[in-house]
Amino acid sequence: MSVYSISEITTFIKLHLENEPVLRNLSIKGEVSNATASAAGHVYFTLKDTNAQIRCVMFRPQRNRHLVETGVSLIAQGTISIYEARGDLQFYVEDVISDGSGALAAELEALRSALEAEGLFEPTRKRDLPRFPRVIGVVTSARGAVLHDIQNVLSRRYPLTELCIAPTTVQGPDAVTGVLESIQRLNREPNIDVIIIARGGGSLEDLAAFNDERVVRAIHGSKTPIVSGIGHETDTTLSDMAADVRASTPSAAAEISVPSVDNLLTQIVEMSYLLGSELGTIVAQRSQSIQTARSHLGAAKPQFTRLYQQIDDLLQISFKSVKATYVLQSETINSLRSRLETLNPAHVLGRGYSVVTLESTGEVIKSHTEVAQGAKVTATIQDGTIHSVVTDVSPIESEQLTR
Amino acid sequence: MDDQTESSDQDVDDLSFEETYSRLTESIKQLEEGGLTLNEATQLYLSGIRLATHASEMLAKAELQIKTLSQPELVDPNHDNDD
Repeated sequence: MSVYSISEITTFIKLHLENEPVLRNLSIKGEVSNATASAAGHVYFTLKDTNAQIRCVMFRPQRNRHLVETGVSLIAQGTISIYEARGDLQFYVEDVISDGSGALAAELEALRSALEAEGLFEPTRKRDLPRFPRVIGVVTSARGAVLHDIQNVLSRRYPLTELCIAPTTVQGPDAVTGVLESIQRLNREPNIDVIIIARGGGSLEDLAAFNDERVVRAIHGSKTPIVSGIGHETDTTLSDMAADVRASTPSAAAEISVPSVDNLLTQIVEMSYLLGSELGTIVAQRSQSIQTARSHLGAAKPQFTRLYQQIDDLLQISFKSVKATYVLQSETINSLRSRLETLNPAHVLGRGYSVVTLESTGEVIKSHTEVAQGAKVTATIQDGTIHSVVTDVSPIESEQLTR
Repeated sequence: MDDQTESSDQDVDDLSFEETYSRLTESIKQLEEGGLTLNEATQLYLSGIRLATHASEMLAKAELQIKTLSQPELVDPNHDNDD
């Protein structure tokens, strides 16, 4: 048996390929993927169908290179040979034409305008999505990256929800029936708050089920709101147009359907802070009333600045602990509770002070000038009220006040 | 004053996230509106913090639940060749 060098054998293959009349000038139909243009202006791409693919190159001088775009279907004309440096079988493309997508696009456009005229895409009939969905139904393939992507997004963004998968094939002859069946089954399930219909990117033919009139009508008629995430950013199907919310990709559909845990936690922290600051305002107002009353009674000034500082500390504690741990532990709550107790102005009364109000108006008496002999007043003390009649009113000398 | 502000820890623990969030929002609204006694305001604050704690705990502990409806007979798995 002879032993050949690699160069010898690739040259041998090349000669055979180039001498084969069928391979010397032929047309191949397929979908373009991985199209890239080199700096020199050549276009490299892959032509594929569902079962096979072939590497292609279209050199700079060739016309119609601009038609080569990932996702489009083409008929390419050229020669098959081998690129010896890599040992790659390659299709050297000389010209390309679009593959009947014109007819398909015209048909699709006709259906689109008919359904639009019927009102299936009316923005006014689109429903809002629930803010906190408990169960999300998903219509997609049980296999592949799409379902995985959706699960990942929901786990990360809002794991409080439950995912209910109605698997279906999303391509090929059974896709329409499968998608219809899945939409119907999810509509029959109790408690589903929103349905995501998703599929990865593909050619117009791959997405055909989502441009099928029956599927579009089922989306329009769904009692549960539907979010569509079909194909890539640039793909828009009639299903997208009929959906309540259109997302550009399956992952984006999952994102749109749920709030984000991070944002919610931030909101909850802010709300905890707001609760504290509102309470702080109320406490400060009450403290001010007592302070005023006390100063008019000639008592020493109480330590309200300390009280305010404590309120501030309290707010900082609740804010930080929620933010740092996402969870306020019960001991923090207990500590907040006991510290709040110490801030309660009722405790000021507990130390023997009282607030005196005029019975006729309910106003706190801040000056001896506000009350006359014979007036009825109420003194509020720690555990009750004392109703009295004023027998005498007299001012306090200034040296007594500053004592 | 609403009953919710006097709810026990156990009651709060049984609330859904949506309910907890909405009660928390309501507590803040009531505090902002004013007209409360100091005792009512303090109770609202405490129950609000309990709600915030419960909501944060739910978010921190949650794990996505997944169930799959059985696929109907008519689907031929050989055709399921999408990406």
